[in-house]
Amino acid sequence: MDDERLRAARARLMVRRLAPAFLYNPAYRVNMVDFGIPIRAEAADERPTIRFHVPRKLSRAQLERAGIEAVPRQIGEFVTDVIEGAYVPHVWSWWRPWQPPVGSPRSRFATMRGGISVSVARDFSAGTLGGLVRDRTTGDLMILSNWHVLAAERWVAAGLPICQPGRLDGGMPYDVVATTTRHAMRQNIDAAVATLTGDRPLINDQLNIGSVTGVALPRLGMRVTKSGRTTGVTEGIITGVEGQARLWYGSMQHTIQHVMTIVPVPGKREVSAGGDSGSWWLDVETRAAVGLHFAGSDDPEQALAIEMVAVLDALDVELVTERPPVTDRRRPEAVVREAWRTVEREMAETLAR
Amino acid sequence: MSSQSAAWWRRARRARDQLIARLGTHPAVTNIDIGLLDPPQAGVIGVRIHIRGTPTDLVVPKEVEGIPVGVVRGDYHLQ
Repeated sequence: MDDERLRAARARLMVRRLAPAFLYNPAYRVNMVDFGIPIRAEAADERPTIRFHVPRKLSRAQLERAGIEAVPRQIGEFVTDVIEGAYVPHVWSWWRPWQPPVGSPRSRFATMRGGISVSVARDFSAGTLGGLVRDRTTGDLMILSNWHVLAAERWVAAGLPICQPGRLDGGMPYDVVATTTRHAMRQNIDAAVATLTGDRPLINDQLNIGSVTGVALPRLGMRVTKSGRTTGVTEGIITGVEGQARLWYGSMQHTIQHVMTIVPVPGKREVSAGGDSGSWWLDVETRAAVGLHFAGSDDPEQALAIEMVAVLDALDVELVTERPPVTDRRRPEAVVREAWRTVEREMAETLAR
Repeated sequence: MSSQSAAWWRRARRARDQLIARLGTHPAVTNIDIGLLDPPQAGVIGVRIHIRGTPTDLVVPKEVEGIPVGVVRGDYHLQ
């Protein structure tokens, strides 16, 4: 064994024997003892040595004044080194949660909009804040999202505090922005509204998409887009309408009506994921809201949403838009009828010329 | 894409309601809607029975009230 390896072996043994004497003696204020490259500027010897890590390096005079013992300058053949280092565990802590980057759907928004994280204050969860609606009777401004995001308990009628961001994304009890007001599960619609407390404004905007212009019924083949807490902005195509689905809500099955099915646009794999519940699906062409996202399947990748017209009627609310919202309640056959009328009119005009 | 007539949609809704009454409680049936069928009926609009897994006891008619019926895969969960 060469000299260097013998030296290292001796140092390791020395560290193991000495460390407890320094670490557990409060007179020294030592955080860690190890064997490594010296960091001190005046180090003449660059070979590894015994190092003492302390919260703050002090001069001899400062040490004496503070009543702190100085570590030995030399231990055996080793000239020791003192390094500044105050170490804390890098673990997630509930009192100082991880914060996502500013502007991320999971972050805290001073001005709230659709597509961002939200949850019941009591639950360690996160869904998506759908958007801004107004009570048709009282005019109160409200958040519209899913029942399983804003309430999730059948016996809860009203009054649950809602956090933005959701608790899973670092939302705290002081991030309460609304309280649950009513839901539509009795009408087999997974939707609920929460009245804003007034602490933070909510505007008619879908994160990274734009404002909502009105409401429309879904049509087969319609291209739609949504902004969600987990997958952000995605696009899809409606392949099924007027469905009745049965899903597990915890240990209970519920029937949900007015369901549409959405598949990813060609070339895209993802349309939605857990945490996107509550997102609004908008017609790509008009930005009219057509569906409230609530479920999905991974294989094949599909999303389920509830017709927005049915949601608004069941909750007795209306969209809040800059211009009077356009509500297109035409069923698919009405669109065909209208298209035929247009064609006939254009043909008549052409013939008349 | 929704080129069917009003009469067709009325029949499709009746067919869907009949199938909900008949198959809606089957544990493998997750959704029944009107939409685009999977191959070999790709491009055809009809009533779709969404199922999870491969149930052996589920008998799905080929059509109801003249509306084609198809099976599509769909194991949905809340998001």
